[in-house]
Amino acid sequence: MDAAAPLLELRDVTKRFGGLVAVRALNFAIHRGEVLGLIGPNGAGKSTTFNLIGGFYAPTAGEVLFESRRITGSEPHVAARMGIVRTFQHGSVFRDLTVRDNITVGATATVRGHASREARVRETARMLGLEHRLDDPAQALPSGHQRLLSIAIAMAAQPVLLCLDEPLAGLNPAETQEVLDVIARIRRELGVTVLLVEHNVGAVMRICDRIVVLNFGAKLAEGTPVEVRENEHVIDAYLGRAN
Amino acid sequence: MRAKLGRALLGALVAGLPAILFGVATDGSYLGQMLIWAAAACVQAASLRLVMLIGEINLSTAGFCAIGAYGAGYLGSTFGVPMLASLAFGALLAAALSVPFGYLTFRSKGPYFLLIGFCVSEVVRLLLTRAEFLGGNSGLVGIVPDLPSYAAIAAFLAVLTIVALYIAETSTLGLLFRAIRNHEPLVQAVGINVRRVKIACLAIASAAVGLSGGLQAYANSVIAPGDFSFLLSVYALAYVKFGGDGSVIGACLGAVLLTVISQYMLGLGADQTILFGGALLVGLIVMPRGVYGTVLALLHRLRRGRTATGIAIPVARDGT
Amino acid sequence: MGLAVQLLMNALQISSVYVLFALGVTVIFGVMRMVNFAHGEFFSLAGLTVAVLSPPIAAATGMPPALAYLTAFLAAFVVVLALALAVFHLALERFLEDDVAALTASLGLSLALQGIYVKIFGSDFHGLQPFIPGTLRIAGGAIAYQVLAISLAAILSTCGLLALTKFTRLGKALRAVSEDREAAMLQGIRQRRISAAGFLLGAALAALAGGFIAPMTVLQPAVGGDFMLKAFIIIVLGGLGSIPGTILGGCLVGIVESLAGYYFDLVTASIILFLFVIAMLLFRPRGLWAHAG
Repeated sequence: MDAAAPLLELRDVTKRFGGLVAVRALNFAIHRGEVLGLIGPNGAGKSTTFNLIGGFYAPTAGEVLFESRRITGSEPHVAARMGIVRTFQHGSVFRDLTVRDNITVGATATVRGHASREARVRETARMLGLEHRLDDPAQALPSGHQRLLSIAIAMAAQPVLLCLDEPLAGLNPAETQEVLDVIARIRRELGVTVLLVEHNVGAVMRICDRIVVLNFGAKLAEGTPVEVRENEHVIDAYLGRAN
Repeated sequence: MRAKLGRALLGALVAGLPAILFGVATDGSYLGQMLIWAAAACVQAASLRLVMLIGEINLSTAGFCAIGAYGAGYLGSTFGVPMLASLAFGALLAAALSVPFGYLTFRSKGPYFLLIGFCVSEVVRLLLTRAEFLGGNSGLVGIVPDLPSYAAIAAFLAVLTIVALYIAETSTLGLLFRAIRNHEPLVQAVGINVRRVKIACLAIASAAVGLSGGLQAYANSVIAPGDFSFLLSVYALAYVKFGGDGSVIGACLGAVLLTVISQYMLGLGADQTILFGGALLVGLIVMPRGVYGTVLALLHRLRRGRTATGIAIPVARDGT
Repeated sequence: MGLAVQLLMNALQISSVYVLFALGVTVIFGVMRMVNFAHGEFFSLAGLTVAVLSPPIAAATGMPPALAYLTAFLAAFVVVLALALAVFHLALERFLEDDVAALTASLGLSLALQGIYVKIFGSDFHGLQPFIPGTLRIAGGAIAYQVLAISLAAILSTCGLLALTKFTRLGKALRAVSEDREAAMLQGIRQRRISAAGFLLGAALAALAGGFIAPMTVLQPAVGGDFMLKAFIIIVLGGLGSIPGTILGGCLVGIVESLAGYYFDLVTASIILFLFVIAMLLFRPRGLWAHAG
């Protein structure tokens, strides 16, 4: 495996729903160990791209490559076992289960054996600061902790590429910082690559190494936060309007 | 895990031993018959409830019950295969056929899956009426137990099956069932082949219900397609909703109560449909937690002196 | 030629009532997203009431049989609507958000009502003596004038429903909710009100169908269940919630039954239809006539 090759690559990926083109000839790459942000106005194609990467949609055209292997059209659970694990918007937890059971589900596919699974659950809970709440029902957690739990579930599945879908939505500044710290720690201590879809542009600027901006299903700009912030197309289409 | 197994076996002993002893005492009498019907009903209720854990209402229950009954009955009456082997065959046949069914139909959910199950039960029944080698409309006769104390054996097998269903529910597999009900895409996203898990659930449930069909076949010695219309599925649903869908104990309680009431206190026909229809409505509207769940909640409140936190955790209601 | 005409006339007779009945299920599915399994019980209540009340009304008041029939029809209509109102408020109103619970409630209701009807009406068959004498013979086929008149009445009722959905505010609201529930709510249509209206309209259609079938055949409490199975096949083939689809589906099933009665056996036909329905539910729940996808 070529160490310099990107971890994930989208090559000319198009997704059509009937007459609607959600994503058009999209090209970008994610490099190992980086935190990549995916931003853009509503309807820009962020969710579609996320679903394409995770295997929840199959592209109408184009290729998705992971670790230089073609994974286009793989089913979600297959992509997950390869190392692409994602969270969902609006509650990416199992409401009726306890915190422990939530994380156990995350670990089930990738950790064999009851004892190792329990160990992984405790380890993941500790990393996310949830070790004292293992027996609480997920519903009882405040939203900030539920968000951490959703990340814990994904981390229990031992991702190589962790895809977080709007992890900061609806969080107050303290909770937001906590999640950002967790993301930073995950990348630093475990070498997990992170892809982030977010509306909180300020947070994205702080934590991401690079940013891809989408608009109307196509890539508008790509680069470091500074480059993107100063890109006039982006300012016109997105950042300017947000002000 | 070991604690749960222990608890399951204890529960099985507490409920099962009296039932088996009762079976020994009443074998051959009307009470013995009723015990077997109640036992079969409990298995049907527990089976339906297992599939409810993945969030689906499985009206194909009647169809697979028929497959199990006819599988066991055909082997037993036509080829003289020993009863236990025939019963096992019926259960395995039902499980085996449920796999392609699940593979095809689990692409749909909720009301669509419910309606498909209903259609499948009707198709199985109609096919059976055309199957001359199985007796057609008049049915299969001569299905006779070849071991003594059949009522006790039936009770024992039923208890065994329900314990197995409980173990499935409380295992890691059972955890996946409940996770799928809560958030199916998330389960896929962490690497689990959800369709395979759903099929496993259905196969286990269908094996159980196939066994219940076999038990009924040997109890009645005659089976006919009309015994297995989709009404059987609806009755199973009534057992679960009336007794309480929060635990397997609730489901079995509903089955026992409704079987006893309908057999003991009422005539056949109209009274029975009013009872079951009414019980289902009561379980849906008046007592959503079912008899067992309501009683537990009352006891909980009495013990605490005030209401509990009010957070609903379905499986926790039976104490786990 | 004569045979074809006769088969067509039989199909007409069968379809006219099936379509009206199935439309009631479709209307309810459109607003409430549930298959109302108790629909057959609204239908059979109307039919049985008409069959049971017409003779005593004629005897007591000296009315001609046709008039007694219409009076009993009116009474049956009111009874069914009252039942439907009670059912909606007591059982279904709370399940407006829960499709599966509403469906299972209707199953329970269907069972309970069937049993209650046997208590009230007994399990014997009830029929009506014909009140329009004579048979029309045309092009080799024969159809009783009474049957013809009632089939036409059923067809007119169907046209009436179509007019209602096309031209009245209620009808437009029902169509809007059926097509896109969320959008309709955003436009201010209140869910509880429109669901109640749709449910009552569906029950009214069942009552009409029941009143129409009373003079055409003999009835017993289980007939509701039989019709419900047919309607279920019709609405899936036609597309759950689609009114034109239901009409086409009803005609199709009427033709198949007319042919099946003559050419091959009903059980095989039913098996094939059910398998078809399963395939539709899996791959084309929007019906044979919807656009793919």
